[in-house]
Amino acid sequence: MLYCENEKGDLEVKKWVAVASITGVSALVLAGCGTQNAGASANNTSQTGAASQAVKTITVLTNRTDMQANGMLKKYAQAFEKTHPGITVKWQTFVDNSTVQAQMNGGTYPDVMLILPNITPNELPQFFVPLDTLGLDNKIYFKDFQSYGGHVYGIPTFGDVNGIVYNKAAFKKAGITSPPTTLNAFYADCAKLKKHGIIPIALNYTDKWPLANWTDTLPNVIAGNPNYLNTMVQSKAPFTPNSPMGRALNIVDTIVKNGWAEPDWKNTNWANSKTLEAQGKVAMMYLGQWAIPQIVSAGTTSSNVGFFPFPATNQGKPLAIMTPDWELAVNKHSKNIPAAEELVKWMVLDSGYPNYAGGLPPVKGMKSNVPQIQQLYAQAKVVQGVPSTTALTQLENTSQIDINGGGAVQTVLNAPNFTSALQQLNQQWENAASLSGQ
Amino acid sequence: MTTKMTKLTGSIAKYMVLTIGVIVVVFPLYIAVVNSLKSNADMNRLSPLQPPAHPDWQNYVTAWTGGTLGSAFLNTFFIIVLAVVGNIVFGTMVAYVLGRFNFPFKRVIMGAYLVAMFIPTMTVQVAIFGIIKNVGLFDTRYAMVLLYLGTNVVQIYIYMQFVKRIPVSLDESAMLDGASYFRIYRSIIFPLLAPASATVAILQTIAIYNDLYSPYLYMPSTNLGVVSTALLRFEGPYSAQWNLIMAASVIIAIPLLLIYLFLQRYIFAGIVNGAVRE
Amino acid sequence: MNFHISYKAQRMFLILGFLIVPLALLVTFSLYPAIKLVLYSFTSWNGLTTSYPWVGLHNYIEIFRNPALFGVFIHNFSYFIGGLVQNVIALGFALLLSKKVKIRNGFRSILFIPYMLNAVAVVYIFQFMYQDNGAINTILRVVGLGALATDWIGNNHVINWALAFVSLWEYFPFNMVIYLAAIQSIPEDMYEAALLDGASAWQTLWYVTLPNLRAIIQVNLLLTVSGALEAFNIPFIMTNSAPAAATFLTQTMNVAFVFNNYGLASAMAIVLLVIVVLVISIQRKIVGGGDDVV
Repeated sequence: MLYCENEKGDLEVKKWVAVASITGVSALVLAGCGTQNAGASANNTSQTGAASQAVKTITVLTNRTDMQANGMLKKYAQAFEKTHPGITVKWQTFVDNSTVQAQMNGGTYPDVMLILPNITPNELPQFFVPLDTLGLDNKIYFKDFQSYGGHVYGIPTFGDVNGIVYNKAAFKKAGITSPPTTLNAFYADCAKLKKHGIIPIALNYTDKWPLANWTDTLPNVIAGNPNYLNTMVQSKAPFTPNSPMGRALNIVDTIVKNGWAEPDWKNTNWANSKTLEAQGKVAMMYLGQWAIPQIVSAGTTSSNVGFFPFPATNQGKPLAIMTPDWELAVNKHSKNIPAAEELVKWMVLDSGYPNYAGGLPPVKGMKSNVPQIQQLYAQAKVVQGVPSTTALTQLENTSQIDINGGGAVQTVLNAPNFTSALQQLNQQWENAASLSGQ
Repeated sequence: MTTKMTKLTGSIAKYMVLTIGVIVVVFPLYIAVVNSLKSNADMNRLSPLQPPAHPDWQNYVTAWTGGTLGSAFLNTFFIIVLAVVGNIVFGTMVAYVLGRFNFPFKRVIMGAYLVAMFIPTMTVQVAIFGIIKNVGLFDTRYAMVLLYLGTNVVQIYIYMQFVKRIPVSLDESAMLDGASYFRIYRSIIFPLLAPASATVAILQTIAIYNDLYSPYLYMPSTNLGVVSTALLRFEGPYSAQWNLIMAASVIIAIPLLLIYLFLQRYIFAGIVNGAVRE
Repeated sequence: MNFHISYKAQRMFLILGFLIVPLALLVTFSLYPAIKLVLYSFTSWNGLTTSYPWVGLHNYIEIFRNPALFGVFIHNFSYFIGGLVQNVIALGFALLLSKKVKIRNGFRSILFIPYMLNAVAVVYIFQFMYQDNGAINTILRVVGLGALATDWIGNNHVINWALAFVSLWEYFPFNMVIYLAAIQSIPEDMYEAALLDGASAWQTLWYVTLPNLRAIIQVNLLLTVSGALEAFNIPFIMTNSAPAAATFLTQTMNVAFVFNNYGLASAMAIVLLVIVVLVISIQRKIVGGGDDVV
């Protein structure tokens, strides 16, 4: 941030100077002069003051509001500050991407950022510094997921592999002896679970992000190709019922139509469902392995929670695709780039956060502490994911079809008619494609 | 006889309607308070209508610390005080000038205030954002103060009405005594606008206390929550635990309710003054 | 000698001195952003890059062509109707409270409470009550109206009405207090005259009270209608702006910040502004009312 917390008195004065200066700035607008320069100079004066301070404060963005509430963020900050004297960590949490996006629009965003899903690769250099010099390249997985022009801009906080997280006791109660390996068996198991009064699968519709797997992972699994989504830009109608995307949406629609989701599925969230799954009232959720420790700590034992690849088709071993979770980046306009880079390095190598979060550690040779991952690996063909291309993200934005964030699944599930919902998506896709073709 | 009967039934009906209204108003409050006092076990065991046998105050402690409500109250208070004082000072100044003098562009200025009233603030945030950033106030409480000073313009109208009611003869006799215009503003206009200032203070306090999106946007740091954003951030990780969310909601409701308890008359008058412009 | 400056010079200094800061604030935070908004609306700016490709009226055409954008106004309609009902209820209570009801002040004090509660807290309280096993369904079952129990947030037919009710519950007291003050300011002799003419209670209401309230009804409707068109907080907090509850403003924010289409979002904001002004002008024509109110 621009100011140092410890210099309170001085800080207050500076702010007042800034308040006073804005009136000057606006007076210039009135007189017809440009605001840009006047604003920038006001900005600079306040920043030079801060840069000369000995203690460097870096702001760090995180999506973990739960870790703010349980005090973990504070502990991480203290641990980092202990080994890095002279740097103070200030956390920023967000509930909704839009506020972060607005900060980026305005050009003032945290020193250490999370890369939002709708940023296209070619926009990365505009916001972040290349992180090639951190010396992590050969040590980590997923290093090229957020890269452009041969430079790395994002370092994954941890990796994910998606599958179905299930409660073993619930399966047992419904008479299911082993996890399904075909789509038909999956449907049959859902029916069995429902018959035994257990919610077969929780979707967490209201949170929206838990729905993303159905459109940004499952189509790739169905197609047997981790690059399938990127090929959608060549199709005029990728949402037809027989396409991998159409089939993926059809699976989640089938779940809802048969009453296999939560009874009040349109008013559900992850925080609630994890407790229900721990209690065995919910049997399954289609999420990443990171969900497992959270479900366990919501009130069950690790041995009661299992993990298997989504049986997306009726033949063959399903794919399990490994992808990075949120990626850390460093703000190009930061006054403390070296300090911010130190934090990124520390988060990945020394903080222990990947394991706290139940992630696949991004560092080669580091072991995950989620034993269930082995169960999934044994039943799947494990492959590395492929990053989204600029073309795909741009087409998603222009067509306003939210494939990455779960919005498209909400739209389809909310529509009165599945077929016409897909037609509508195809229509939007085609309009957008013809626009960008111009 | 019959008229007496109709009168009686009329008055019974009247009380019934009012009582129904009171029930509809009080019921959600009852639900909030009762459930904020339940342990997790009671939440599962009892219907939402049933009060717990043993109130569990721990929820309030968790909500207070987990939601960082202490700093949220301080930040909210800080912003309200500065914004309200600023709005009163600037509002009286503008109303005095516009109400007492004729000068070129006066109508343009009045028109500008009218236009500003109709702009939905939320949709212009990106443009405003750049300004807040350029003056170096992003992620400070001053960003909010400045924003409220610039976008809450309804007080200009309230003050204009009150200024009109202050007799010009007061100004004139002061001028005969040799008072400057500034002195007239300071010793006559400003004090006589006190009732209008009370109105402005009340309306702005309520508006700022309830604002969600702007503080959410301009003060992302976790230590800079105001009550609305603190509650929103608290809800995320605890969205399954309604007893905690209700406790946090009750805590946040208390300050304005206390003010209401003591200043009821002024609040009613303030709302009426704010809406009715004769 | 004192430093008396002529009143003429003083006047100039005072006008300039008193206006410069407030006007600077007004221009910086209201007018300048509004002008920028208009400019953005003719571009396909994504909100991030420094290029502003000019697209003419394309964004405006897109708003009316894409049912996902303009179509959500149907959800705002619930808030609009809710706003009308809110005014009827507020006026009703005001009429009841204006008569010599015993413990009138007690009723008024309690009925006003919702307006003093924090807006976010109110939404959470109602979200809790709207749960499947929440207070509302429980009470419906208790009083034997179990058939009416529904998934208030999940049922597409009721969700927007349920959300509009939250708004009604929270804001009717505001209108009520204004109506009450207006009714009490109607001169007593008008009622006495009506009584002498042998007017019934209904006739008095229709021919004396309501005509005198015309301007106030106008003000209240103006506030509620623009509120309905700009509904945002309730669907945003309670449903995370899910499709079934999306309003025009939640959709605008979505377009801007989820799909990085700031140009289109700006055009949507302008359309919203125009609609608000239009609706207000139409309403002025219908309800009438003098120039004495804004």
